Amino acid sequence: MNHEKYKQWMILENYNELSEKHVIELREHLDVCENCRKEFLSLNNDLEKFSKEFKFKNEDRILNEARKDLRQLIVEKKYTAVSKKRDNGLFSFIFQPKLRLAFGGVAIFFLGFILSFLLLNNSNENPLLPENNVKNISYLNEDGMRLNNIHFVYTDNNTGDIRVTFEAVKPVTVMGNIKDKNIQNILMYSMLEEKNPGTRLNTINFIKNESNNTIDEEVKQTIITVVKYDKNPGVRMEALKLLNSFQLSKDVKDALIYVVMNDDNSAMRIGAINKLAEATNNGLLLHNKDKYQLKRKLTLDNNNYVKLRVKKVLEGN
Amino acid sequence: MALSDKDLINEYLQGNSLAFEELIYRYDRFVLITALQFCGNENDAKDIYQDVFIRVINGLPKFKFQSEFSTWLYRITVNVCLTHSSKVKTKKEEYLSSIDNEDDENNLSEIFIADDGEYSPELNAENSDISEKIGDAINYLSPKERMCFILKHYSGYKIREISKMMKCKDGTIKKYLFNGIRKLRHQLKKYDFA
Repeated sequence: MNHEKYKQWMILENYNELSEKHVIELREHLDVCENCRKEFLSLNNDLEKFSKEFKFKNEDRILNEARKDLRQLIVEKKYTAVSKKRDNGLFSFIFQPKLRLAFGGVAIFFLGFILSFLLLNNSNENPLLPENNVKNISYLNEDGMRLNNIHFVYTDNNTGDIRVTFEAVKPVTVMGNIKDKNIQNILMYSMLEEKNPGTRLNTINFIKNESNNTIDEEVKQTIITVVKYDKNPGVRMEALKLLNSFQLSKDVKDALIYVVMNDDNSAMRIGAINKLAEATNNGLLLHNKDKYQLKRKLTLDNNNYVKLRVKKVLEGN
Repeated sequence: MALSDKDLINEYLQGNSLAFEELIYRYDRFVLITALQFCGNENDAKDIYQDVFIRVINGLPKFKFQSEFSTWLYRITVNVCLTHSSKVKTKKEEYLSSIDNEDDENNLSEIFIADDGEYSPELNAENSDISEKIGDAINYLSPKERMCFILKHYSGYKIREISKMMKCKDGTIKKYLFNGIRKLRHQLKKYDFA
């Protein structure tokens, strides 16, 4: 047997980079080879230590200093260093005694060309000049405007100017029902982008109460995305319950299989496999690809109930 | 609603430097952490950070949005780290060739630890023995092995993504990764850590 090959596969398996076929082969090998089993455990142990034990302190301080240095460099570079250095190099080249005459005419031609270009082209403003960023802030006085995340971005030591960044937030009210495109866009944005999991959860519950088991296709796809990828298991679970209330179309079925195969939360896997079992009782037939995946789950899942339900679904097919 | 990277870049190119700052703030932690992990040295990491964003400033007017901004930025970060590493090596070799024969070895090693920007995790890594040992062990990897290991293990990129960043084939990346992990574990066994 090629143990070296399996050692390499162990690393790939650890990083979820091994193909399904090779995972099965590796598992079979580990069942019969004690040395490789030990090696596998030892590798997992070491890689875990690399993750847990190697950390840097003062990350935020270093980041802040790096940002400050970069700002300074940008300002300095714009006003002095680069242009001066380049000018010196250029003039010293042109004024070499032997080349003076030859380059004089050429230089005058190019100088004229460049000057006319600069005069005629109005779009050559320096994008980094701070003056370009001074905004009219009278709108901050509007009713309901709130300022968040205020922080001082830059203090110019020469002029004493202070630059401040903030988020200016104004509440907006939109009215309509769940079929309105604007409302749907807000709901989708809230499910995908809102940082607060409570808000994401509320959005899903709102859809559940208002949808009457029918939903716009785009919103459904968003719910599927939440079921598969939301970081919060509570949000995923509510999204799964909502998804289970819809008709079992192909994309819903694929999402359920994805959850069974990939979600690390056993309650999620159970929720998904139960829906598939129910659908199987009602005549759902799985494709061979789906069956292959579920068979793999039957051997690899660490939850006996999930295994039992997977077996039931496969028997029904 | 937050502006997309593309919107911010366009805003910046039209003269709004705050848009550039917002763009940097979205991604610069990754740049710095990668640099710190790669060189293990605060000053070098800051140099790399600066170099990366200066290249970004110079490159943005030509950026065609054929890839995500983040992908482009990460590729620059990888390049700058690897280039930095070869610069350090050249500097070290130049210094070695110019050093007077009478200098003894002890003096040399002291100079390199202090001045040449070599990996020095003791400066930044958390104050634990194990962390320092891991830092030391990472130092034994070649620059490309080190970069592969950091991108895979600490940043969690897929091999395919790393191969794009480093402009290598998947197989080459796997080779770097296998060798890197083998060397790391071997080194740590010496420290009686594993």
